[in-house]
Amino acid sequence: MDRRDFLRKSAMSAAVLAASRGSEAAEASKTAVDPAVLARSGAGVTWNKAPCRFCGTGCHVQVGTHNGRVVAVAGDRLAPVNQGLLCVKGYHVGLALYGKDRLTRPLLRKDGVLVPITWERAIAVASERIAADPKGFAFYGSGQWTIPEGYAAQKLMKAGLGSNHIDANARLCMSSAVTGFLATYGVDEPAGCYDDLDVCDVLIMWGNNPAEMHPVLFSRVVDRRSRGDKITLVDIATRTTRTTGFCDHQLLFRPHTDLAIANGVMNLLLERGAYDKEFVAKHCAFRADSAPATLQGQAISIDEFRRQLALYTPDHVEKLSGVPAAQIRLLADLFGSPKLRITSLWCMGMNQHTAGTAMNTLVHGLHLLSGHFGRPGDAPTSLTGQPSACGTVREVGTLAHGLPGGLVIANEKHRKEAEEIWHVPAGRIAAQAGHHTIEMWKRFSTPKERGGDISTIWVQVTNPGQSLPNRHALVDPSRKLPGKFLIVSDVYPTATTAIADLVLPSALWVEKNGMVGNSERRTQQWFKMVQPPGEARDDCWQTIAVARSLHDKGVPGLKDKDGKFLFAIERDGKELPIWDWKHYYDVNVDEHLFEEYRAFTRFKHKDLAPYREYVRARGLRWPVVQQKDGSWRETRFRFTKFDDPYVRSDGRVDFYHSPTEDGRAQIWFRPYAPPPEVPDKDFPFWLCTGRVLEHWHTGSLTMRIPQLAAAMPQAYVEVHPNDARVLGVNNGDMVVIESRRGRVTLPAWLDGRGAPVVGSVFVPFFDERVLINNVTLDAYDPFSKQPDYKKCAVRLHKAGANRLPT
Amino acid sequence: MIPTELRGRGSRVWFAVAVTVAGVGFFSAASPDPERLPRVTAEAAARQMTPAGLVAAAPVGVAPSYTELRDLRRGDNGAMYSGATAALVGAAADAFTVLTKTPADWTGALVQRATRRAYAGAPPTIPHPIAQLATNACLACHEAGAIIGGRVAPRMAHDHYQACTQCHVPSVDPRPWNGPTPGASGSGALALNDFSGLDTFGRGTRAQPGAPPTVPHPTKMRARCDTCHGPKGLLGLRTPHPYRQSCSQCHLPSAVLDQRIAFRTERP
Repeated sequence: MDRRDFLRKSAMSAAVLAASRGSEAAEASKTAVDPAVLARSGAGVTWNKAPCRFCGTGCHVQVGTHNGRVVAVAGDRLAPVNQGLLCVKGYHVGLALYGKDRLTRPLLRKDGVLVPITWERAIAVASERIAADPKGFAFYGSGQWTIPEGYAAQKLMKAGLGSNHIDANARLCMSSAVTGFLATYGVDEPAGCYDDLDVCDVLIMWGNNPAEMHPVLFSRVVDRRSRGDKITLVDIATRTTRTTGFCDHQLLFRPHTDLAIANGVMNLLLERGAYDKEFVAKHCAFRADSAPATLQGQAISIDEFRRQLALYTPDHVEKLSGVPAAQIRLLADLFGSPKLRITSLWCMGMNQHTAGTAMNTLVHGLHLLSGHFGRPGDAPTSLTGQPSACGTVREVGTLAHGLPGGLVIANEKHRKEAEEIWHVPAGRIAAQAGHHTIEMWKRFSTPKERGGDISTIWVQVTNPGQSLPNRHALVDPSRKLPGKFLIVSDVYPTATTAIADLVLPSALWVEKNGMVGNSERRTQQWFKMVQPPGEARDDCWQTIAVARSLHDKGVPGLKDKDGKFLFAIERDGKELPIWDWKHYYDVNVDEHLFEEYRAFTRFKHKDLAPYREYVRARGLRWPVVQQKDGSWRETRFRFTKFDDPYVRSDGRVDFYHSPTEDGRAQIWFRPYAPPPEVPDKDFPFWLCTGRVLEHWHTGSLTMRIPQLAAAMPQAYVEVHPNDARVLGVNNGDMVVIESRRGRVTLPAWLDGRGAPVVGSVFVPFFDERVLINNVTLDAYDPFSKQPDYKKCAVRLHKAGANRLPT
Repeated sequence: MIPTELRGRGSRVWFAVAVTVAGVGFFSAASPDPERLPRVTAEAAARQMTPAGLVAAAPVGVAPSYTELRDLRRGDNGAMYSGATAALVGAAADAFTVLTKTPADWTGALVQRATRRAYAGAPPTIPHPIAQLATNACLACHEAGAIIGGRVAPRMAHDHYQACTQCHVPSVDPRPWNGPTPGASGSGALALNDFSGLDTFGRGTRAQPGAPPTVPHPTKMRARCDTCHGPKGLLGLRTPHPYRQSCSQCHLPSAVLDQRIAFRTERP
């Protein structure tokens, strides 16, 4: 075979394979080619580690690259989280980089149209907007920010501009978990870890569908059955899901009445004397709401606790929740068995809840009261939906009230400590908390003269145009107001870039260095493996470049006490120009930012190891404490004598950040109260929103992956067949869903992915063509300010038909 | 299970089986922990239970099996499934058939595999509709593998995993309505992708002509070689000696691909 022939055949075989991907029709094509010329045999592939880009589970993948492109992905067998397994999103994560419509140039809106501009111009436009009104500038970030990205934004705002108007989309997904941990233990994040899943006897899922949302964690539990383990799975839910199919028990409750269920179980434990008296006497205290309500509440006695709970008899709980009293007793039987190891999991069902903080404290309280705490397999564990909701938002504290390492704006000592680490003058950090997410967007959508003090928002790594609730009220008005400017950094056109004034093209995942933190306190690291497309650049570089531009303009605050640039990195006494993209990768900026951030992690015993330790590991769980021999040891079970080096006493556990400063965790009484909106004559259905296995968040990545889009091409509404009959709706019929706030039209699916109960419907939010958040409610939890996407009142009718009688 | 093994030994055996089933049911209901139930043989059950008169008085017939029921069907569609069983069973190729393969068969096999995989090593998509809420229906065909009407339902290459749809999703529109969905327009950009996946891990290497080739691909999720290389596999991938049972005796997997030695983690 001569060389020309070889090349021709080589091209042909590659073309045949390319054409055949995903196309059943190509099965018939059997072009004869020499196997030796097939493109890219395995030998040429370079493999490297990275955490998956999608959810908060924190699986590690092996990324295979060839000729500067990602060509394959494999589960990482050395990763303790996933042990070589992934879910369908993880297996296809490499395709997320290669959607045809990647943003590759900065775009500026001129006469209503986005036109390409240079990076120099883009950075200048952004910094001019900020310099003109620094206190009217807000940063809206994300649980998909890497740790260094979030840290840079946090530092620019709080140490640089002296403004606390920085918040992140994690406000919408886990801030009730944060307030739940704070109110119970005085410090954020779970005590247990995924190891609990390997040894628990009972797994209770509170409003949680991990078979679709955290599939790798779910299979870590259910696959134990293949090995002969007996595990009891309990699904406490408002609809039937794929998770239900694996469960031994399902408790179907009326939306919002999960509080009554938890109270009912605690009441039974007290009544039967089946609680852990020794554990409670040694390690717990009781609390209830104060007036006015605060996160700390007020102390009550166990007798007072018992008296208040007494209302929640099994029969009363049945009346409120619709869950049979026998099932309430069954839960109490489980929690009342000291020999069983019980792990609770929850995610958005309990967090996106106007009583989310209350519900979180109740589940912690149930575990504490029953003593199902602090032994492997006995743990209340909240899950997160984003790869670094914990690592970046909770730990770096990129929230309107937060500082890195669990420090808070409200505490003067904390502010002082932060100013010292940042080496900025005392008083630089504003003492007043900034605007939380809903408030930030509300003010952005309000004219300045009517209190709308936010004039510019910079959005990074998230898509609020699709994910904020009640978009008509929070986002759309700003687009018609003069003097409001929206900057969006993203990788694809989204519902948010569509309405932006300035669009900055970003690097994605392994196109940049990164670090993230998952749901079990595990901090993970990866290196850049391929170049971003076109002129796309790292979000962290964008932040530093704008900071430098502000510095050069003389905006106060961009220099530290010694007059040096806030983000200065020096080598041999000379500052490296990292704000210049050509030089950004001359040094590992991630490593420098991370090492600076580490100093913050000592205050609340969230110790992180040096950067190089994470390079070697598949993540480490904090606190990571150095041993006498110089090695670094992670902590699996926080607050336990047997594993946590910070435990002081000889008891089984020590809550060393107790809100009462006496080593005790708090068991809360939280009464059930009806939600702010319930179905009525005009809006007779409950609407619940959420995700599906194939798509992640707003679908901006997964809808561009053919295998995932083919398996779930469009949003739909799940309707119970009985309701569908009354509405005259069949599979595929277009249905209008309408609330007091907005409406969408979408097809009905009667026997689809999940099964709702009569009088309720479910819509996934991944589809940008069906903006269900025009319909959802923006009421939020009083402590966490997290909105409730899981319940509001809607009406349905067949599209084109007149509204049906209700 | 038991009925298959004992079928054809006459009505006495069927009687014993029926009694066993009744006996097990009785014990299950009576015992607090059915898993600890002592094993009861059919004969022993028959001996124990018959004198008690539990079933002896009832007229005893022979329950037909599902296969027999299928064959007994009447009416216009009575012959609907005739030959189906034979197709399932007869499809297992003779392990001693001598294979004739060309290099094109190998390429053809890769092309066919690529229709359902984003890259070599990706979990294959499902070429048929599935029940959206069901979880273990897949096992009916894929537990042991089957050939139905010329189409292969491959035997799962891995075990221990309970949630099939965690990794495998349909490649066909899963929705039960036909035609384009109103409102789906304006989505031209969605799902268009420039990803170009790894085509193949290549072929194994041989120390010298005639030596057994090494395993060129990772073995994670590929614990059962016969899924692809056995008699029901694609011609280009089939082993010429399916009668040999211990593949790893001669074919060595890669320590690098299987992560048995540390991958490099320094900056690339």
